[in-house]
Amino acid sequence: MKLLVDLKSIQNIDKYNVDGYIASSADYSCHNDKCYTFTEIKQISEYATKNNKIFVVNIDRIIEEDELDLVKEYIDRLLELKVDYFIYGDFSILRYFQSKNLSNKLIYDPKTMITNYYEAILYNKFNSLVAINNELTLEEIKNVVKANNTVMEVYGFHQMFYSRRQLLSNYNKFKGEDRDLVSKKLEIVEEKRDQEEYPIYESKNGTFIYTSYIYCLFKELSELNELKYIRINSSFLEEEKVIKIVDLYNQLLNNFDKADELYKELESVDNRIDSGFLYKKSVVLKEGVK
Amino acid sequence: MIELLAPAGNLEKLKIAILYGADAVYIGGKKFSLRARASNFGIKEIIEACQFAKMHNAKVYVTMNIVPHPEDFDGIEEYVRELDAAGVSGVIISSLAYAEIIKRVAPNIEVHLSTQFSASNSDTLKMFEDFGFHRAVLAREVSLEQIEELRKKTKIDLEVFIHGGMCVSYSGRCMLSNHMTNRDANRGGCAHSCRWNYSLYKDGNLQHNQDEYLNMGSKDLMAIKAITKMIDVGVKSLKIEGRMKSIYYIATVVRCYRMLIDEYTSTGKISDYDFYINEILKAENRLTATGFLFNKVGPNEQLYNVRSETPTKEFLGIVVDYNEETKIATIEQRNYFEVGEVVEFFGPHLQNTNYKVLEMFDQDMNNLEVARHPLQIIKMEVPFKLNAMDMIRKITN
Repeated sequence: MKLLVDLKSIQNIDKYNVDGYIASSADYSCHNDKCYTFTEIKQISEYATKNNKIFVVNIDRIIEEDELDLVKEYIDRLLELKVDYFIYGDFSILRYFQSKNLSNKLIYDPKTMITNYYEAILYNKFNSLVAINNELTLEEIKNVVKANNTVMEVYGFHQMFYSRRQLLSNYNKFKGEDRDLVSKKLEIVEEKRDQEEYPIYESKNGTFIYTSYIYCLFKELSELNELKYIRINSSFLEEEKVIKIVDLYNQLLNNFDKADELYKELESVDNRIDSGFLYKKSVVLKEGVK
Repeated sequence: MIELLAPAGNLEKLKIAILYGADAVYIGGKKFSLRARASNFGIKEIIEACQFAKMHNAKVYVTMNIVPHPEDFDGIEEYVRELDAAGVSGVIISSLAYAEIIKRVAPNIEVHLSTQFSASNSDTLKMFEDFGFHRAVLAREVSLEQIEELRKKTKIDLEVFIHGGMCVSYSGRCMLSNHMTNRDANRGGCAHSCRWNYSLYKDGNLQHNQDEYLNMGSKDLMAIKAITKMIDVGVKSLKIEGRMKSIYYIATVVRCYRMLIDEYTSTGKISDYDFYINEILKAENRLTATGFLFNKVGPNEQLYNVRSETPTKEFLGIVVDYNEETKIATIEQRNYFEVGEVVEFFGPHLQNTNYKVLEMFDQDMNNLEVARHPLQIIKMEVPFKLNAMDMIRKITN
């Protein structure tokens, strides 16, 4: 099991005690925190190579027909660099990598679709790794990891909504106002859930909503040995905290016996952590709305 | 020939959809479907549905479009065999694992990719062609221009939503309901959290007046003006959303699109779009827009300050029998109407026909001034020929 982090800055790259870095493309990812230009990605790639680190580029957005050529050109440029993996959310990317016989460089992360062992293991056919859905119970995750090709986001505000629409700009236009709402982290609060603030972010790629809590899978990792990579999603967290969190996860991976002690430290870094669905099964009943 | 595909939440709706002009219907079984909990389709009903559809030269597709968790594989092979034996033409899925099972167990059943997968480009569609899928339901975020490109570049049958509710997110990419209510939208539990009222904050400061809310819900889709283009470019199937809608809604919307398609395919033009739009409005109780078909979505496609739909009361009754000798129609009442009122009859083979109710009777032929009880049997003389399943509605402006 190796530890990856969404890199918050290049200048502090040496402070992250990790196995590898993830850099998101502003044009082709759903990531809404620090994204990187091609030049910056090149710089990170060079650093990663020199320091024997894994390097992952995130291009997980849904791709429209008129963007296909552009995204392929972009991938071609990236392939000239040393990039170990590409995170994708659209099958056009898989097709392109297959055409180049490079699908072993892929991690499929559609957020929602990988929910069972059978689904995950199919991607072995494509040589692609897959990212596990974060709305699963621990028992369900144990089922999926048996496919031996899985990656999981184990810490961070988890993206739970992806719309192609510019919902905040539309609202602004509807109100006839000119508020500065785009490319900023804002919060929404539902009228009957006033204790829960959900981060919302609009970019040129759409509108994204995140969990009100920081998803945290920590002590349970000792039961999930088959995971290939775990990811710390640093979105909307201060870099100083992220560096500490990464270090605690790294210590855990080196010594699971210290899990309880390390978890206490993790809680003290940011107490908004929550186990999400790990011990809470979703229901599919229509009754009892709200 | 283009297919008009209608939703059916139960057998009655299925029959109405087919009689009013659907070439195919999609239904959810009691298992593996996003509407499983609301479904009335056990295997017995699916067999009856397929028999009825076959008699009317129509097809039945079954949705198995959940994003399955480990326990959602229990009994799947047997279920698929039963669907095959029942005569189901295709299944709509979003899981590749389900696709593998279906292809192995029932190779004759067509496999359709659900819109839950948000297929938006030709390379994605080619992947599913290669996997042996027969059809893909496109993401609702695809424009009409893009649909044309997709048709040119791929061979897989394309199915496009033309009417009904729209997720404001990419379908399948919303977990709001699950996180807010513990109800998993990708397994049929959607609580429509996107339609709730939210306050918007920036750095702790409310971004609107205290008594206002940020709304994010989408208006429903109405693609009346895009149909001719879809036919021209070679879309295979035009899909109406709404398995939970009433029989009146199904009848009105299906019949309207049926008439529009028939007019265009027989004359090469549409003479009066307003007629079709007004027909739809007779049953539509939600605001509509054209989604992504013509433009990027702006505020006009969003729902603001509208919490829920208003029930319509246009649907007055359904014809259960007509005696051609006595010209007495037997009608099951659905909403209040009275003697002296001018109402409109319509049906699969009956043009909109106004008629003033001169007198009416209950089942025992006692005179009635008003029909006030839901499901009450009413009898009245109607001078023109009616058929069972014709409907009566209020005349609205």
